[in-house]
Amino acid sequence: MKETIQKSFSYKTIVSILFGFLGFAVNFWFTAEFAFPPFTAAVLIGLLFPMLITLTWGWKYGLLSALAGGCQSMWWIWGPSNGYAIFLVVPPFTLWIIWHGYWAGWRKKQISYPWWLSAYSVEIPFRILNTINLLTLSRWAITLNPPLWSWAAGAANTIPMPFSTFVAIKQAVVGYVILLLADVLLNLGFVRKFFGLKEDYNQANTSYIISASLLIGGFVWLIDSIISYLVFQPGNSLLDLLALNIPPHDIFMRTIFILTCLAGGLLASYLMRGQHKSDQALLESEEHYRSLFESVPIALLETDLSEVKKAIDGLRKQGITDLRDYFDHHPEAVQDCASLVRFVDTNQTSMDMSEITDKADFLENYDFGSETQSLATFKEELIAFAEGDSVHEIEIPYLTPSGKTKYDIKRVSIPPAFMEDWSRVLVSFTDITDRVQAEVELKGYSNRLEEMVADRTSQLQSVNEELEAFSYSVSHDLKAPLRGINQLAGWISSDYAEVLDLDGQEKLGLLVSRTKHMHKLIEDILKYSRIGRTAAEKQKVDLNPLVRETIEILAVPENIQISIENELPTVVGVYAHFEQIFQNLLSNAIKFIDKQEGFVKIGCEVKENYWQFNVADNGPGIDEKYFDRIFQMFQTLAPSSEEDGSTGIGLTLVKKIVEMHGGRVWLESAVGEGSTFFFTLLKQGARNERK
Amino acid sequence: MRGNKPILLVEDEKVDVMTVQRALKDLNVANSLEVAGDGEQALTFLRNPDNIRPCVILLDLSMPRMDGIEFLRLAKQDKSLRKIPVVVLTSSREEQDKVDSYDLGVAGYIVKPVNYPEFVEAMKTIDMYWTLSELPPLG
Repeated sequence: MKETIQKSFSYKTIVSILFGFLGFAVNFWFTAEFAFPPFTAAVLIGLLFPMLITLTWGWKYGLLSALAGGCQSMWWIWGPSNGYAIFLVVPPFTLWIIWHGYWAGWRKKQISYPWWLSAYSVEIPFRILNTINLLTLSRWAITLNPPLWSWAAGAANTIPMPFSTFVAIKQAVVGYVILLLADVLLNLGFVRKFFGLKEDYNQANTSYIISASLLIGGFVWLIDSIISYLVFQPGNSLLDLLALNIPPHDIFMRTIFILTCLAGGLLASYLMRGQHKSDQALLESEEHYRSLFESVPIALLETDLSEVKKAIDGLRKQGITDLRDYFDHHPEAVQDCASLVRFVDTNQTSMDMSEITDKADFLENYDFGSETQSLATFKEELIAFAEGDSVHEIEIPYLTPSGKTKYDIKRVSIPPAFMEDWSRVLVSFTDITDRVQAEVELKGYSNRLEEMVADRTSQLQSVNEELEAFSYSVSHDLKAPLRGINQLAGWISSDYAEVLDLDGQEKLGLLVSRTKHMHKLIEDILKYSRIGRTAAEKQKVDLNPLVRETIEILAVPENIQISIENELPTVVGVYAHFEQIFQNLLSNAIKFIDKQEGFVKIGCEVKENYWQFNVADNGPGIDEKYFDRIFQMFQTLAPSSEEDGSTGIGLTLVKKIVEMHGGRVWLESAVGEGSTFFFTLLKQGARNERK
Repeated sequence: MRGNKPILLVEDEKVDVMTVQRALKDLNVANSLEVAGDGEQALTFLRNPDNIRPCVILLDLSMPRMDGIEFLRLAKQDKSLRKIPVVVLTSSREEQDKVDSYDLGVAGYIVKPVNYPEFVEAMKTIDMYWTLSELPPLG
């Protein structure tokens, strides 16, 4: 709560004003005047108080303290003789307070700042300007005297140059003395507390050093008085020499000495604090890294392989170039190297993982020379490092002392700074047991899944085969009786021609035609089922001659023109299948063309990884609502399908073949404007487009 | 057909038998027609020394008990029967059936036409061919 009070606005205001009065009082009562007849030069040491305010709370409070307290408003008391020059001599004191307050405020916001922005340094430009003012403008202002106001009627209108120079020097000295004293005070614990400032690092030591400096100064003062009394001025009383009537020279020297002592003490405490800060930082960072080292969830070991490095250099000197070969033939050499490894440090995670209880014992006595697996990885590490690698990584399974199987990634690395002598080698073990176990589990699952899929697939396959065999045999077995019916009907028609009337003949004729249609249906179904079943050999098929031959077989009516619009590609697959596609699409187109001049155009577009074929006609077109239906089995759109031999399987067949080749088939059509059938075929090596 | 040896028709479907009989009659083929209902019956007929060996066997493939392929396998293993030409007369267009048949040394493979006139044409061709073609002694 005290802190809050000392930082509150009213506290600061009151203290600022009080300090102003204090400064006024000190200036008034404690005057060290220098006689320079007829002029006086005063040491206005009271400025220390507004300076303290401005340095701690900034220029605004500093200004308040300087003006409101009267510290700066009593200039008329001191300088009637200055006349007009008063305007140029006194206000700089106020500016001085503002100037330092500004920079103190700026410094407070910085983490660190360069020496040339300290109070002692920013004093320099101010002092230079003020000196120039004193030596030029002020002197000119004095020449205008006497001023208009009555009480300064006696003001001089010339002053000697040495006096001006003296005033400038005096002001500079006093300025620095005030800054020094303010600095000293602000380094004292109780002063800091008073101003609500944070205590510095090692505040006690700082206060102690400064008090000691002051004590030394006081002691010298005392000694000087005694020696003066005993040796140089035995006529004077000791009390006069000590305090009451000190000769000016002595007072000057003693003051200088005390100030020097204080400056020295201040300097010492600054240096000490800097050292302390860096010690502190070092300690903190050490602690930081130590805690990182200990608590990181990776087992860390710091080792020293410098002896090992020497041993390997020794082997090199003996002319051994192939280290692996050498180690293979001299396994004991690896063991020797292992015994040269020195363990420097290990962290808590490492001890937990390896179930080590005594760290010191472990670092001192651990020897992995008897562990075959450790030796094997050690050998690999040595070979890698000897070849100039700085990192070696390996996944290792191991047994903990309590018999659990664990998996680690062991990573051994030499920091760049230690590549020369291997005196620091960092070994880390990352526990990946969970991951490995998850992987094993996952593998188990995926194996089981694969088995299940294979199982189901084979079940499906056998069901499918069964179905196919069934449909095949059913279709096949249907053919024989059908043929029988056909035959018998034909024979009745011919053998009993005299007995049957025309109506009977016609009905028998219809019977025969229906059996023929059914026969074709069965044949088409068999064809459809055969596509998937027969494993005919795939080959390169040039579609240009294939399409030309297909057109020839189709017996195209004269009023229909079939044209191949562009060069067709060579594809890979079963010849008969492609033949089937074009045959069905072309025969469909021809069958339905209802124009005087019909045309069918075959084209092909090359796409990135497939070909897109199109077969366009100027037939009657197909309503969009039938687009899906026409690819389904037994779906015909023409009513007289039995007469023209349509079975409704042709497009189903096309769809099956195209999809078997990883393509798709669709159409664009509008009633009265013809239809275009599209289908795609994958280029060889391209992946299934539908995926 | 050559000589007066009989023709052996291995066929289970009665109408098909009738069709062959009728076609042969229409074509005025003089050779007699022996009919076996399946492969077993055909083998029994062929192995009976009392029967005259046929000059040609017309073989259906799908039959009960012993089908045509099985019959072919056994017949072609039999030295005494191997030389008799076998013409497959079937309704199957299956590639596998054709391959198996030719593997077993058939002399021809004819898919039964669905209407009678075409069937007669097919029979006529068979008759002409085996009238023209010389045969080894069939024992």
